[in-house]
Amino acid sequence: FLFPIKMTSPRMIKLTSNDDKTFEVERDVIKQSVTVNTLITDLNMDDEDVSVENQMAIPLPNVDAATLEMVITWCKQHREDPPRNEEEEEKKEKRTDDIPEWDKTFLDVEQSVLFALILAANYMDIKGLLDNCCKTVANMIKGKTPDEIRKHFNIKNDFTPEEEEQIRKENAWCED
Amino acid sequence: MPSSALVKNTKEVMQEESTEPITETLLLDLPNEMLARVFSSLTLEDRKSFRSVNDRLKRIERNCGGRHFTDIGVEWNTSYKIIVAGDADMGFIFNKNNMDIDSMREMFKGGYTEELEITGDITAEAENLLPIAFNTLKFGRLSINMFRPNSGRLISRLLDGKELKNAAIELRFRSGFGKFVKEVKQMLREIPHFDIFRLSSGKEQSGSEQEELIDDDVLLHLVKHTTSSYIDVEATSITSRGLYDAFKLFWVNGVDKEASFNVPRETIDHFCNHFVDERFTALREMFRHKDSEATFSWSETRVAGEIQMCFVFMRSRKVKRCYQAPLATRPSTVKRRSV
Repeated sequence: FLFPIKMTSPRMIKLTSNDDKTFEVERDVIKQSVTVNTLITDLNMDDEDVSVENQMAIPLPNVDAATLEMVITWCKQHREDPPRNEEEEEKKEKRTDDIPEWDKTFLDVEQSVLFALILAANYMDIKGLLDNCCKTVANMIKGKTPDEIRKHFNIKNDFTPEEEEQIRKENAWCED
Repeated sequence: MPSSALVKNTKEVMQEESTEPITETLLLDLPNEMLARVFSSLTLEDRKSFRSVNDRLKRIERNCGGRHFTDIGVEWNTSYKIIVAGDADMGFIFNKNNMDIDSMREMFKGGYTEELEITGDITAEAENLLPIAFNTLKFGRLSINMFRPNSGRLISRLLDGKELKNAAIELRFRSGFGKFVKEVKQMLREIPHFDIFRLSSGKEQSGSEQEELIDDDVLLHLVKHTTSSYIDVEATSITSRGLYDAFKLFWVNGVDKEASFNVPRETIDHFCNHFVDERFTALREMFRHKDSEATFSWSETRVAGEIQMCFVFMRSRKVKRCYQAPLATRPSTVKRRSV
């Protein structure tokens, strides 16, 4: 007897952005988001009997479509990454020169896009993406004076002259 | 797909498909935790610049970890816990009573302190909570009062998984540990590799408690796993065999090391006999001809009327001397011999 071989296609999950765009993404790809992963488990969405057409989309009210698309692209690129050990990561010395080349290119975007990605990565709880985004921001700060940082990020100086003097003293103390 | 093409596609998608008005997200729209993450990736110099930009950033920096402390003192008791920390960068001293563990963890996250001193009554609660509070803190010197086995387990947990170069551990035994000699010995046998180790005990310990604590096994472990060991315990039960094995560790491995500890007088007598014994000819020749920088010496001291010998090994002058020799090694020297 010849039994027909059942081809198993990858399990897909639907995600909806806050501007009502729905994305289908492989279960294996989106597992990097702790938030989505928890929702999938809690809502029993791993049930293989439910087809993707009949499946409820997971709403992500804090993420717009453009950012969600970028998040999914990042997750696809990093699907093979080994799981992170957060305890070990915390103990590691923080560096900013260890961002993978692909991520450097991927995160070479407008500031507002980068910050939106940070917010999305935080909301979706994707530690690897969040880390690399924050390191990218840190790299933008490195070597700049406070004035240059203000200019670069369009930040208003809200210190009084007395407070500025105090900060100068504190910083001078550090140099001693 | 090449990465640049992929990014281009993503950018195009963002530009072409998004019909919604784009609200620009600015750096200061990020929540404090995210800005704290950015701070944690900066060097001290860049942190100083970033915190000088704006009042909110300044406040975030104060609570985002990665700080450098001159010293952190914890006094742990069942009714109160006092934390005193000197901030090396900001020049202020932080002093707080009954700080909760989560706040401590936040404050000391990713930080470094030149000295971490834990005193008071190390209860099971302290044993469980302090390693959480100091999980990511690195330290140059760890100083702990030993009362009971909890202190030993606390040390093991504080050291767990940390790469501490040039760090020192200092243990001070106080009254009441005598009931737990077996557990404490076990802890001493498990001390990981460290640069400097110092052990001291209070006068209130009985000689027999101390003797039981430092034996050949403990001595060998400490000599093997530290660069400098100062065992400032007046009475020990180190035998001539233990002394000889420790001596071999110094000479045979050829590593820069030093150690000082007390031994009973008869141990010295028997140890000296080893050198006239034919079995030890090779050893005698070794230190006579090959190792001009290595020395060992002993001096006599009286402890509660009993004569004890303080023995000092030293190999190479390059060994750092971070501590003064323990008090017990600076007695009225009756006899001193050097080789």
